[in-house]
Amino acid sequence: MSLVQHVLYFLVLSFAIVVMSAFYSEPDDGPALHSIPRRYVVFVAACGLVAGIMLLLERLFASVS
Amino acid sequence: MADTRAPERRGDPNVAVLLTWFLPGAGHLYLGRVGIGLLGLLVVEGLYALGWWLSGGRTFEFLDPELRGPLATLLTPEAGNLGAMVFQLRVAGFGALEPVPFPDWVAIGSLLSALSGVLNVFLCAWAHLDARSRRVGGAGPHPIVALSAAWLFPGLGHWLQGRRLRAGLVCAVLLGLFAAGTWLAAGTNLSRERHFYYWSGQFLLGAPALLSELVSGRPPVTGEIPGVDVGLLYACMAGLLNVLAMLDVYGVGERRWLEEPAVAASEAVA
Repeated sequence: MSLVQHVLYFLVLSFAIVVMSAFYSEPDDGPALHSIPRRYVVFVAACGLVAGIMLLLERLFASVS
Repeated sequence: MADTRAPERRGDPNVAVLLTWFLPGAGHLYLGRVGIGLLGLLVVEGLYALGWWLSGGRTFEFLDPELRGPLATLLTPEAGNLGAMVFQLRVAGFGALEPVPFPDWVAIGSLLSALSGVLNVFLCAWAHLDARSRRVGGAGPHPIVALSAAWLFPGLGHWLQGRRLRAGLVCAVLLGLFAAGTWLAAGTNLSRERHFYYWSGQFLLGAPALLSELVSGRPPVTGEIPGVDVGLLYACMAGLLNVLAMLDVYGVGERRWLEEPAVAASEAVA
């Protein structure tokens, strides 16, 4: 499976997580819907940051090459 | 002057929940609601007993040998009926060391015991609510009815509460995720025997997961399935995310139930 496919699968699942957490956090539909784009960007960016840190740590401390 | 007295309570909510968790209906018996307590005991333990009978008490043998241990079954729906689960572990455990064919009805039996655990969680929530208030009315459906509906079909709890837009979106997102997962996994996610823990998460999606499993007949693996890992994750996450929807439904339902009727009615109209 290619990296692009992995990223697409991740983005789909992220969307579901963000939508459900937005509805859980906001009691009213309007604010919940409006908060989804911002939450989505923050979620994806934060996951990207964690992935980047993990790759960096792997490169620095866990490389077997 | 505003009435600042604490709402009338029947008993300690935490005691009621703990009693129910170990013995279905015991929390309601503690609160003096004998009829509901006995009915809860009969239904929840009856389901577990029927499941045990059909499966020969061998549900936990689905678990891979290397994953078996005293805490391994706490991540199963049966943990919602803790007393029965502990009893099964003590009596039947993880079965014999040598492999023995499963009974024909093991999948249905396993499903019923899992259903017993989920129903007992609802009974625990009901005991907690009853312990805090003697109110027997409010706007909208009873919180436990809404909660059960939210488990049974994603979005149904919101729909019963009159939150139609949210109901539609929750339903579309969760059913879409589950359908995509089932497609990617070529239906192999629909078997507790094959994917014990993923199935536990998926079970929280309610009827769509149960009916898909029953209709599919648990298709066998006939070749390599490239998207199986993603499919299992999607289907499991659909069930786990439905818990957020259930908590949302229960929170709103409880607030409306415990509010003064005039306030709740005006909110429902709005």
